[in-house]
Amino acid sequence: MAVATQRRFDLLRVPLVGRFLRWRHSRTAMQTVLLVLAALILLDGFAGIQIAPRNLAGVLPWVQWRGLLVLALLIGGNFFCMACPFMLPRRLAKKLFPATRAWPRRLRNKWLALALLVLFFWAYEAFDLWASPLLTAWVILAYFVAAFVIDAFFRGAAFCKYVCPVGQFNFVSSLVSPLEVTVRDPNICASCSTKDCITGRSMKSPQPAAHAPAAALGIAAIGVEQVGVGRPASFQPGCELWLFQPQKVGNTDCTFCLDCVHACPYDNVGMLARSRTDELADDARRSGVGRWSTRTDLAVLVVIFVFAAFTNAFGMVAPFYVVQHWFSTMFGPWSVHALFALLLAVLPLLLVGATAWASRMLSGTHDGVVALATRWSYGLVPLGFSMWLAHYLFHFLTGALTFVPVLQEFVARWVGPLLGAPRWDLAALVPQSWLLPVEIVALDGGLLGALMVLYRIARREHAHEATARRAFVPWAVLVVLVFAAGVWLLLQPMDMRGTLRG
Amino acid sequence: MARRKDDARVVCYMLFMLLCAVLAGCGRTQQADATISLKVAQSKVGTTPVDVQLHDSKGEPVSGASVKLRGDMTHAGMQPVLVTMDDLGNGQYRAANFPFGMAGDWVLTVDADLPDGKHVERMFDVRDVKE
Repeated sequence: MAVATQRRFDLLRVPLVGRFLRWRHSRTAMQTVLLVLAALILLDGFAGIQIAPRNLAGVLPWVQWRGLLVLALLIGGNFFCMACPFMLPRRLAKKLFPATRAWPRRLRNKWLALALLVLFFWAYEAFDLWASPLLTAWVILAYFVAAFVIDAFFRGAAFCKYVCPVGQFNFVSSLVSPLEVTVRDPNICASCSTKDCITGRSMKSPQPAAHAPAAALGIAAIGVEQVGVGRPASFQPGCELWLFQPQKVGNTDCTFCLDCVHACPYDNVGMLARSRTDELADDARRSGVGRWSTRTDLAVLVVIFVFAAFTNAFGMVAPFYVVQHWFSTMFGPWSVHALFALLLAVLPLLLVGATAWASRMLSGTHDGVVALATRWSYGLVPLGFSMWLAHYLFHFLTGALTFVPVLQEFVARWVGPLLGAPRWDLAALVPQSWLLPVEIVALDGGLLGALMVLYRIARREHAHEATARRAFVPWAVLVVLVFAAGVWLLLQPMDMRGTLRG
Repeated sequence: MARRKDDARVVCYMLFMLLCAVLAGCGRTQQADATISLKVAQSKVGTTPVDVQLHDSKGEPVSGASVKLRGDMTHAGMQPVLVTMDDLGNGQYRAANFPFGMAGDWVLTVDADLPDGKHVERMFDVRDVKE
């Protein structure tokens, strides 16, 4: 019999916050707020002034949303997937259409989502999405349409798990988040026969027989008391990303939807604190995911996530244009695309491949380079996340308050000066002198986390300590080099060029 | 009953979205009462003079207007530069020390309140301001 977990911090038990999150409509409430914001962004993006700093579609997605996203992932977890407004058209789709099809077996991996994520990163650079309110609005509208169409045809949360590029970014980032949705006491799950956390349950008719095992443990089945004569009937779905709680490990593919929390009749699922590095070195078989060591698609997603962080930041500093100019002598008008392909495909492939090869040589293992790279790549996540954090925090801390005058101007344009004259003096949250230290500290944390995880992977792979250290060295060199590149990037003068109007 | 309420809620959301998308099609246009030309002395980080020439629809220079110059970078998240231009007469206006605070692409907006009470606004792209 499994040993009950020690008591850990559980956000769902915190007064007010926990109560709100446990409320069955908390997710809808949050999604509604973001839906209203999305509607305003669409309106201003299509019909407003086509200068990003003066448009809600230029400000909210690229300054406030990105900054709050990484902060939420750093401090808590995947709360933005929890509050995702694209889930509302999805719910509508599932009401209007049968959605009985299973997602195609050949596509039950991350390759499609990865391709879309790369496409998004490419479009961001090629079309300067951050400088174009109109294109930003089109991207957001496309997301709504895609979520609607896909989940109108396919069962479960196929869009979230296999398609959504933003979701994949959040999934990878949440691998280092301090909270995870997980069972409180494994003993209760061991005696549960209904598996409501994944099958869902009807709230209409309680099934005492099904809950007998829990009753034997002296635990009242939650929901029996809640359902009575005159209460509305409804079905509470289980996990639509097919993560069975007793076998779920960490945050992979978890959208923090809390369906499992609401479905569990024993209130045995919580949002518990954990070590940020535990999940990355764990190759346990994960429900709905399998073993990371066999998931090359996941490993490639991780590598792209990491190198895209540095590529994305590089695109905003002066040396990028020097390199681009040099590339244009060879590739002409295709220079941006060639540079993008180099930084996001060729370079990661070479670096990770060479590192895996070196680790293989030093440790004497006979596994293939791809298999090795797959098993070790997850160690890079902390460094990749820290670069995203540094980059997005820079923009957030320098411009968090810019939404105020933009919103004032937007309301004035459509309704009248209800919010007063725009306060264009509002922008930064912190003094300029704080920015570089914050960014460097973030990168430092990422380097430290990466080294810790990589060493734990080394010990997992090799029982002999000396062999583990030899296998670890090339990966440590890689992360230190990438870290150094990140520090160099942060020290470069910014040079922000972008799509101009028209 | 709860299911119907839930349906209604989702439908309302989507109708709201649709309304916004429709409204989005209703663009706004500006009447061109005057012609404005702009000249930046130097596209370089630091301060530089910026000159504006204002003519009415008949090509006559317009003096006595209240002209403001606004500078934004193409990327959101930066505080704009807001300057009131000096009237040099004969339809010429100048911002003697307009600060380009960062390298990159800028958009300068000339915002003029004309003596006849009309208002005109024009935007100008200033590419590749260098270090």
